[in-house]
Amino acid sequence: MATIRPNLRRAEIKPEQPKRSSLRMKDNVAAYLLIFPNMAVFFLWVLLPVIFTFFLSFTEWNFLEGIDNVRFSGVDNYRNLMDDPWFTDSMINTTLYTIVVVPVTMALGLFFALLLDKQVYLPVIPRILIFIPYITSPVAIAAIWMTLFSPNWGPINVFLFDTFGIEDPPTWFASSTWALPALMIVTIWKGIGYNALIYLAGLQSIPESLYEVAAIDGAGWWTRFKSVTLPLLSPTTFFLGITGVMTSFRVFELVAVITQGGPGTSTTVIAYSIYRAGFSFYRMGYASAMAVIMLIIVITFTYVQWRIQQRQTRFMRD
Amino acid sequence: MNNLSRRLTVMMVLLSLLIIPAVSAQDDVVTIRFWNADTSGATEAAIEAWNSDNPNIQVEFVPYSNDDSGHTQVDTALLAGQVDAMINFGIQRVDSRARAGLFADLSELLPDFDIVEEFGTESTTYGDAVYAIPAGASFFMTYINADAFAEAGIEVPENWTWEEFIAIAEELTTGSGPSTRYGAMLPTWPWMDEVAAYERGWDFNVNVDACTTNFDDPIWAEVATIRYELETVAGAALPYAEARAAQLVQQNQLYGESVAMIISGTWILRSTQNTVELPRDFVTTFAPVPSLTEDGFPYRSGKFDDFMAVAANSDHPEEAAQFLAWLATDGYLFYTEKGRFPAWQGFDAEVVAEVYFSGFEVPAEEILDIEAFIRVALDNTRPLAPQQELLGNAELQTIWREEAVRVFNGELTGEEASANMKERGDRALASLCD
Repeated sequence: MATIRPNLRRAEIKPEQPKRSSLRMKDNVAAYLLIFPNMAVFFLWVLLPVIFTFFLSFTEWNFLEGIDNVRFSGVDNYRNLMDDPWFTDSMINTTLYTIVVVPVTMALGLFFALLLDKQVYLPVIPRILIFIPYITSPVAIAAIWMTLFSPNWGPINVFLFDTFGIEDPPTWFASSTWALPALMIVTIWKGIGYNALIYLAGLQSIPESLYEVAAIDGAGWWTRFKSVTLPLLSPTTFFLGITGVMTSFRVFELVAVITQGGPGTSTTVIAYSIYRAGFSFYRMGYASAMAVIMLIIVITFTYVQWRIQQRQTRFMRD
Repeated sequence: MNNLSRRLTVMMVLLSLLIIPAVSAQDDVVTIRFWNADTSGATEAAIEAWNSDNPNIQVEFVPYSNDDSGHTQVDTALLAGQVDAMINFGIQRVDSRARAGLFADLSELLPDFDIVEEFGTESTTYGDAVYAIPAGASFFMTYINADAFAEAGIEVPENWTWEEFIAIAEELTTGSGPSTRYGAMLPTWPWMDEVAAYERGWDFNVNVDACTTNFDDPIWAEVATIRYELETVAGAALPYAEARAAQLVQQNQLYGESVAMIISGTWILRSTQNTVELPRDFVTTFAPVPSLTEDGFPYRSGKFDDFMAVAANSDHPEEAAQFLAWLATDGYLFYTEKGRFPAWQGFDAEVVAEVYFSGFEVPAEEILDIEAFIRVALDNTRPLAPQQELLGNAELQTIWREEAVRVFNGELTGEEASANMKERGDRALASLCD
């Protein structure tokens, strides 16, 4: 019996094969047609500009002079980047900013998600409140925080003086040392709501039965969090990690409005450097070289995170 | 039948006689698309006056916004041939557009109108070509609360050095903590490079031949240190960082009596007439910007603005240039009435002041010391400093701003900042000169 069945199956399948492949063909055509509008837009507005940027990074070009005046300059732009404090400092600042902002925002987002998931009566109101900063205009946020961080008589420094007796509080955005941390604080505050909301969705998709089983096995709060919540949230963490890194590398609005990269180069970040080189200094080739480096870094980060995530998921499956 | 055809022929001839001049008259009318970021209503008024006097050259106003996105829009419109004439704000814009070949040579289009002679500057001359008319100018001066000076028994000086200014500002500073009334407030951007420019010219920061900066000249450390001493050491002026953080507006501080004097541009003069939102009991008088030496500045404390230019790809460059030549001279009084000052040397200071203050809603002499204003701001016995835009100026300006702020807040000495500026500036230029 066991030997006959496969043969039978093969015999049944064979005459259907041409039918299937034509069906598959039809399916493919339909699928390609469906994704065509999206792909066309992607090609025209994303892929083509990326290729053009890559090409421009080997040239010198003031876009005001028209496309005829693109001058090939080899790897000069890349060589000059390494000696340019605007670029090197912006790389250091962006990396520091990302290293601090992404994990802290995620940790605080998870903390608030845990609170909002279980511990709150009428949870809709605090959920809306915590999300509001995320949808507020960065310019409005900048204006509010500039006043809060005002160096001499701003509310934060008055609080530090009155409550803790700190006579020489930081001058925040006016100080080379404190401007970047101040920007980080604003970004973290702005991003908590979004992270909390995504984590909340993740938490609510964890089956209650897993916690019940863990509780029967004698697991306490911490063990349940460590062994059930965190592993099952790992796809959410992965998503927030990747999008967080990408957003951090693109940070621009707050810098442009509040500090314009200063004092000194203390808050010059990579996206602001690119913008300034292109549209203030009219050096499109140079700006493109920076953009290419940024693209490579973001792709590398994403790839590494993706590999780690894959390994984790495999580990969970095993 | 014959009769009918003759009649028809006569009618056709008559009709054609009527139609042809109308068509050719229509052909003669050219339309100039004039791009400007003015929102005061002066442009509309000037165009109306021009259009009624020049039926064959009709001007159409295309507004744009004077910010980064607005300028990008202008750049693309210039490339696409949608601009005939325009006003640029800041010499940097003129320079980048002129170097990109977007502007026509006005010395060719206006052979009888010597721009260099009429406006007393070669700032918009590139070799033999003149790419823009520097039609407007703004001036810096010290706006003074006359009562604060009288109460402190200080006479408003006709000339002063920074040393004297700091001493007076210190005397005028009263109170403490959040209720301090500071003696002075400087502009809310690093600004002190303008003081260096009134002494040496706007093109001073670059040594063109060697492709290096002049940032090692002691004047850079000197001007940055003056602001540090005034604001941080003497505590006699509202600190730069505080003004930036709270986004303070200079005239609000002066008329709210939080400071006794401000150094600011002529563009805020019009807001002084708003006695409803800026109520006050005192008359505003004026003194020059403090100078670096006893002899005063060799140049006027101001700079050209409103650079008028014709697009290189315009279909009607001659007509566009004619319109601009009028707008930069007699036509500029429409802007003066709304608050902008002309750079044309053909104007009489008294006439300019009269037109300017005629636009005020309250009698100007009740709130301002007009005599002091004419003496300080409209004194054209000295020229405006040469303003040629040089290679890498945008980069050098940024470097100056970044380093100067660190002197103001006490992180660096003027000398350390100057050394940083020199190193960074030379490196920036080297990559451009290759």
